[in-house]
Amino acid sequence: MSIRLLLTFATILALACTAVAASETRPQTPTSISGARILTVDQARALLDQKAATFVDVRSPLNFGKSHLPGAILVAYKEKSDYAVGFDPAQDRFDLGLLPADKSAAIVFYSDGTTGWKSYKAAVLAVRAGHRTVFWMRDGFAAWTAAKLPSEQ
Amino acid sequence: MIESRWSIRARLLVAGSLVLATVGVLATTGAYGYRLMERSAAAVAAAAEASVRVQLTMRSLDEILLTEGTVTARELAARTILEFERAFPKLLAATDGDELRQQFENTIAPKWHEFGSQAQAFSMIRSPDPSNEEVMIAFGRLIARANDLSADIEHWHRSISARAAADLSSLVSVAAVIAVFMVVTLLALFWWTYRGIIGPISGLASAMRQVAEERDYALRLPGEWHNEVGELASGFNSMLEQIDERDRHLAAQTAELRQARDLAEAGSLAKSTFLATMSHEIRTPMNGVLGMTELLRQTELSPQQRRFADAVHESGEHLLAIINDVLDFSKIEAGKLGIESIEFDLRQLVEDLASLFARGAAVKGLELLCSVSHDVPAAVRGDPVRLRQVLTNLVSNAIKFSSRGEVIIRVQVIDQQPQQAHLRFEVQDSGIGISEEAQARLFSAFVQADSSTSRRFGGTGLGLAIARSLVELMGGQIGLQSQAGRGTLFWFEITLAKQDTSAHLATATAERLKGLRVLVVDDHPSNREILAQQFAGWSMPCTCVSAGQQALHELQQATAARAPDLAIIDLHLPGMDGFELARAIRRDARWAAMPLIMLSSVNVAADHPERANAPIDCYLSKPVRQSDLYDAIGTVLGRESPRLASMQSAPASLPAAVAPAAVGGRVLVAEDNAVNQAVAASMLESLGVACDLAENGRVALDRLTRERFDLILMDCQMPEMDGFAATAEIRTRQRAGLLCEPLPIIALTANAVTGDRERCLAAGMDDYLSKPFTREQLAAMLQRWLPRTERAPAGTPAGLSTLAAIAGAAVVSGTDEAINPRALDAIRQLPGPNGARLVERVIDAYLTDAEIRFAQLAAAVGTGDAAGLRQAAHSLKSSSANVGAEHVAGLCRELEMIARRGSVEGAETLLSDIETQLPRALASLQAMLGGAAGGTSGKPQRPAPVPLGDTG
Repeated sequence: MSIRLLLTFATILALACTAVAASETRPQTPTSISGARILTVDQARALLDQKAATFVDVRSPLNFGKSHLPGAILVAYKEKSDYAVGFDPAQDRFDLGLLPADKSAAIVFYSDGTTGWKSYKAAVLAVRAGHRTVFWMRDGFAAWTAAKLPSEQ
Repeated sequence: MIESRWSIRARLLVAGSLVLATVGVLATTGAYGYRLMERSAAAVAAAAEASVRVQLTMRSLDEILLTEGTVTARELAARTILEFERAFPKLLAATDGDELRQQFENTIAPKWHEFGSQAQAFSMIRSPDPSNEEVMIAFGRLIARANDLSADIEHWHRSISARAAADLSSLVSVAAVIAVFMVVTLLALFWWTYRGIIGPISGLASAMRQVAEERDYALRLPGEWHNEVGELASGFNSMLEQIDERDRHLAAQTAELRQARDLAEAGSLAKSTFLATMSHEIRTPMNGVLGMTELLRQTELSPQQRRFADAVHESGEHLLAIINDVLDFSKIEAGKLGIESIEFDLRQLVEDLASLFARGAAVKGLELLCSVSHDVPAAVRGDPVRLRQVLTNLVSNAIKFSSRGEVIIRVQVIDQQPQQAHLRFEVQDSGIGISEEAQARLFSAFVQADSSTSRRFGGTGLGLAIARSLVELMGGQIGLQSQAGRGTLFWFEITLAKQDTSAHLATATAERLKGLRVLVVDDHPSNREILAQQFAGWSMPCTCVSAGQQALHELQQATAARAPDLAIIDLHLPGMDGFELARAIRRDARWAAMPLIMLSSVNVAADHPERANAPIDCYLSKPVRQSDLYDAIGTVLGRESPRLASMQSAPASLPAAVAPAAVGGRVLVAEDNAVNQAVAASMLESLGVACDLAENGRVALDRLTRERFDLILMDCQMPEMDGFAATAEIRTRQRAGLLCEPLPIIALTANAVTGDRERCLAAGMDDYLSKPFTREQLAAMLQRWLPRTERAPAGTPAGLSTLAAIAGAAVVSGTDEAINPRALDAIRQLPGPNGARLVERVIDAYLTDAEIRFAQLAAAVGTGDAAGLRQAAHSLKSSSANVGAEHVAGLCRELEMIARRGSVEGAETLLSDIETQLPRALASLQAMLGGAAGGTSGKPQRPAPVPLGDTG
């Protein structure tokens, strides 16, 4: 009896989570970015292995806590602006000061996936702040895990 | 065979335990399968609970984050984490098998504890703020841990389930294998048991069947079984052995018995042949004894000599009867007695028989009645001799054992068909009866009702045995109904074939009689019934009354339409006797012309004093023969003047047997035995027939060629040429025209064995006479074959004159009532020249005998000897009745009655009456003798009887 009750409860919980995820419909991020280069997951992996870049996770601290690229740093992008190219940075908060001070240091931005505007916006803002070597892993952490590449908690 | 050493019990035990084992294995398998499923279910439940605990823990931590660390949320989280920790042992318990446990210890257990401690730590965070990045990162890490743990639990649960499923499926396959194995084993076991039990039993059964069907008791069952069936088989074998043994024993016994039986049969056959031969040897001298005695009795003898001769004759007759019985019996025993099939008149046979016994019955004071039912066919085919023998036996027994009342002979039809009739003959008496235990053995040979009976009445005890055998040979059955002291009814039923041509009475008379009314007056109910039946058969309405007054009353009442045309009156009636009644009837003018027929018993009617002037048209003596009655009615109705006819009809009242028609002719006797020659010659002479003698067949032939004869008495066994050859020769010569025809040849044979008759007839003889023969038998034979003549050819004048003289004397002395002269008529009616002499001899004998008898009577009364008195009275009664001394006869009858009761009381009075009456009778007879002697051929005068006083 108690077993069935618990099972039912677990099922309802699982369904609720799915519904929240499904309601999120966002436009696709642009496929090009001025002042920055888009990296595929494999290219990003190569950079990671060479330790040639600083990987910046712009997602929420919670998701960062769940899992992130090995050696990535958390610079959470508090996003309130529209999901568009012409977004208003004033509406968002992104602490550029946490980025490497060396403007020429290679920086790889990533967020959840192809609909993750946070990394796009962060990359744009970093380019605007004068960083010269900015990479954007557009496919995001979803693609990374999908490729079964190593991650860190 | 080892298998067969197993007993059936062992086989059944093995089969039973194997079945039990099968059931046990299957049950164990089932229980194990159930346990597996239960464990699988427990694992699922534990996994689900663990997942839920993880989720709940995450929820409670989330709550802490959302409420930014309120006390309530923290407490809830603490509880949730505690419960999460508690769920672990269940999970551990559900883990089965070392491998899984190892895996569990390695993977889930550390993660579980790590998650638990991290969650604990997270719930302790001082400022759980969602905006605090560190916190959120930690929370994210927890979520990742939770997901990881959930996945592991899921994986664990899956592997547990998979393992359970695998176990179950292997269990199922093991169970299937076991089941298949069990089925195969059970089948094998069944076969084994079947072979061990059913096989031997069916073998045993088929062997038993074979024994039962083929009766082959030498068969043995094979001893290949060593179990219970083997015991059964050996038991059966020993039973067969016993049966076989018994059979052998029986066969030996049967052989012995068969041998004994063959010996006995051979002995019996030899005995029968010996008896038949002996009977031949006995009959030849018996013929001499009887014939010579008969002749001796016809010569002049002194009274004493006559008594001796009579005794010899009587003893001879008795001896002959016994010999005949014994011979018949031995013939029946030997299976040599054959039944003839010849045509005869049944009615006449029965009525003749009744007439034959009528006198004997009347002498004993019995009424002999004969009732032949009207539908009994007269003309039948069968064996009259044997039928008469049976009836004679029964009737003579009935008369012998009855001292009063009546003897009734009845013949009835039970079933009649066109070709044959099933008839029932009954002889009923009112005698001493037969007790039930005696009835059972009555028909056995050499047995009488009781030994005292044989002492009283004599007899061989063979009569009824012979009667039964004869009836059975005729295809019938015989029996009796009796009650000791109340009479006996003997009956037998046989089937007789009817003759083709109806020998019934002429229809012309029948038409004439039809519808005539008859008045019967008789006090005897049986007689009335018999007459009524006879009249019914002739379609004559009949009124029966029992007394004269009733008859007169009936006549007064009669109207013209119902007036009787005829009256039958019995002489002896209570109150008014027959003659009185006749006179009374005649007094009425209406009935003056009505024919009256009187019935009376033999020895009264003929010499009744009133008879001469009684107004009776016709007299008939009892028992009335149907044909006589029929003729009498026809006669009286045809007469114009009944009165005149009454005198003419008087002879009809004489018994037919007493007055045979005279015969004449010349007879040749071919006989080698000198004694038998003399017997035959004397008998023929006494019958008024001339005869010549021939010593053998050749002499007879010689004489025939030279002289003419009317008949030949031919002895069968003679020297030189026997009777058969001589007869054949005679018939041959007749056909050749050398001898004139017809010439009847009567065989004389002393050999009474079946086949003689056929042999005689085959040889061309016409009839046969068995030696010794009586004068009556010879007379009957001559009557049948010789041409009838009005008078005997020789010696008539003397006979006639004698008769006339006696008649005259009788008329003269008619007023003397001491002697009824008509009583002697019967004797005078005897044919031939000896009739008159016979009367003389009878009187002569009586004159001597009466005195002796009287002396015996007196002596018996004096000494109180009832038996002696009875015997003497009986004897004197008979002889007195014969000569017509009726008073004396009546007195003697009374004396006899007294003596029969076993006393002599009151005898003295009767004795003194006899003393008065006897001399008168003797005197009358003396006178009669004197008168007759005058007319005869110089016969010496008898001396006057000695006065009675001298003898007493």
